[in-house]
Amino acid sequence: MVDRLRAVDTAGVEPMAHPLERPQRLRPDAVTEVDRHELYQRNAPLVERDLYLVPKVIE
Amino acid sequence: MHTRTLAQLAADLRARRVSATELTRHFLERIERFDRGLNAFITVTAEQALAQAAAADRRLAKGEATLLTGLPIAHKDIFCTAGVRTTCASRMLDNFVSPYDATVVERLAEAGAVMLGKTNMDEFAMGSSNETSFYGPVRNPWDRTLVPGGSSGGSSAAVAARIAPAATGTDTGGSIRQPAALSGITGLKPTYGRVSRYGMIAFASSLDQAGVLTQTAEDAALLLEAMAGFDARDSTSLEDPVPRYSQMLGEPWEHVTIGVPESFFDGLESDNAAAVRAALAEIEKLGATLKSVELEYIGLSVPAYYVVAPAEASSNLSRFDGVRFGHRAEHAAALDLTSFYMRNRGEGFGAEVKRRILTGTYVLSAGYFDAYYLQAQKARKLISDDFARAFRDVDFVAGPTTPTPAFGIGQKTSDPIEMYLNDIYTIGANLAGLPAISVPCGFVRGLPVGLQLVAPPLQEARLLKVAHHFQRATDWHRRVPADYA
Repeated sequence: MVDRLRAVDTAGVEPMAHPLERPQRLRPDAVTEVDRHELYQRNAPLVERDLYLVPKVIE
Repeated sequence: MHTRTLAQLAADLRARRVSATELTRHFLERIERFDRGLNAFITVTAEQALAQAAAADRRLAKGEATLLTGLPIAHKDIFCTAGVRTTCASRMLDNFVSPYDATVVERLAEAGAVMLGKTNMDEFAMGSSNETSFYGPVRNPWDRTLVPGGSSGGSSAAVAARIAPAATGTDTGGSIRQPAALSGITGLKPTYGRVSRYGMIAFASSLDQAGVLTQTAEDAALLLEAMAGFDARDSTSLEDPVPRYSQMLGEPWEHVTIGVPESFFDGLESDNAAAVRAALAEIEKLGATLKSVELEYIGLSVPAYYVVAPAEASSNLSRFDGVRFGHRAEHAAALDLTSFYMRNRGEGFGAEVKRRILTGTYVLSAGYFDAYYLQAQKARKLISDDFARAFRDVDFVAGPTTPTPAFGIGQKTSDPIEMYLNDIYTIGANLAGLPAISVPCGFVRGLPVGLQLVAPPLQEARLLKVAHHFQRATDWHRRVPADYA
């Protein structure tokens, strides 16, 4: 199935990332969100003192 | 009550012929009665629905009804709903209660809609038959041994069986239009960026679009009007103003030109082709010229999609690692980090999701990126240009929505590519970001088939208008399976 794709001559064709080729908006680099970690951490598997607990990583 | 459209129910509510509470109760009872045999719902939000209905009745009593006040709808379980389980039909999110509402959910609630529950779907929206769900397959109300289509199979089956009058869905490669066609209802995918993707669990970010599954184009117009529009929280959201779709359907008919790619009829079952051609002839009678068009590279749709979509999915699904939310393996503390990730994701994801993540990671890897991903993006450009070229001569491109009517549960699950080919007619509109609708246009061996219309970007109003006029001249969209009438 994918070989069909590879067989096509696409020389000179620009790759398309956005279907309407519109650029995405930029905004000022300013903080707009508020701290809601208590709400978001309700789904956490394991939390202690606001930290997510995971198996030990550092050897 | 359950065979009335949203537009009709809105009139009934405003005229106080029925209360929002009675209406919601009616659908909750139907869900209770029929969903066991369909498996269309993952979560039913009965208490919340009745509270919303009561609030709607208070507003209706004061004469303060807005666009959707009191109208019950269902949401595909891909939309985050605050305080309500949101699973994406995956074990990975089986325990996930969303802390926020998706923009789609927020806007429809603000417009007054009542949420009946969250509908079943293919896991992470990956599928064309609703057979990859962690919660089991959804059944087609027309024949419960058959699939309703996917990935918005739950939404589609619910509306087809009239256990919900309308539902939201998402469409990445055809996941609204294909199930709509297989279930005998109307399905609309808007222009890319027309509806906000904020709070819509991401599958393929350059293809995903929220839309609706309804009994009629008129209902689709009503819901789209409430859902569409700029959202600062979605970086791909379009700033173009939203037309008042519901007001525009009744505008006088203008002669249109419809392009039909003849290659779409190759290999199509003769009864299916006949139903689609008869529908086109019906539109011709309304005042249209049919014209043959060629989409030279459309045959690359399926391969290009099955490179681009998995690539984007591999990135989007990397967030599911069992660290902050979602499935975490038992006795995780004893695992090393690699095993931790492997167990969380290995246990949390189903086979099709894994297949696509692996494919996506592969096509993005060094040494393969140019040959696969970049090539697919170039094919995408070729396909998009084909449509743009066609739209210089025609107003719409039309054809069958699917290559076959509904197929058996389990029939196509052993060959992924056979399954992928179900999207052969729908994928092009996703790659090119175009609005597209499927409307019921007949029956083949007693099963519904759909007519698809694709329009240029932001031409939803014209698309809905043609579909609406077609539905005023025909009655395919009013057929309900006998068991649910």
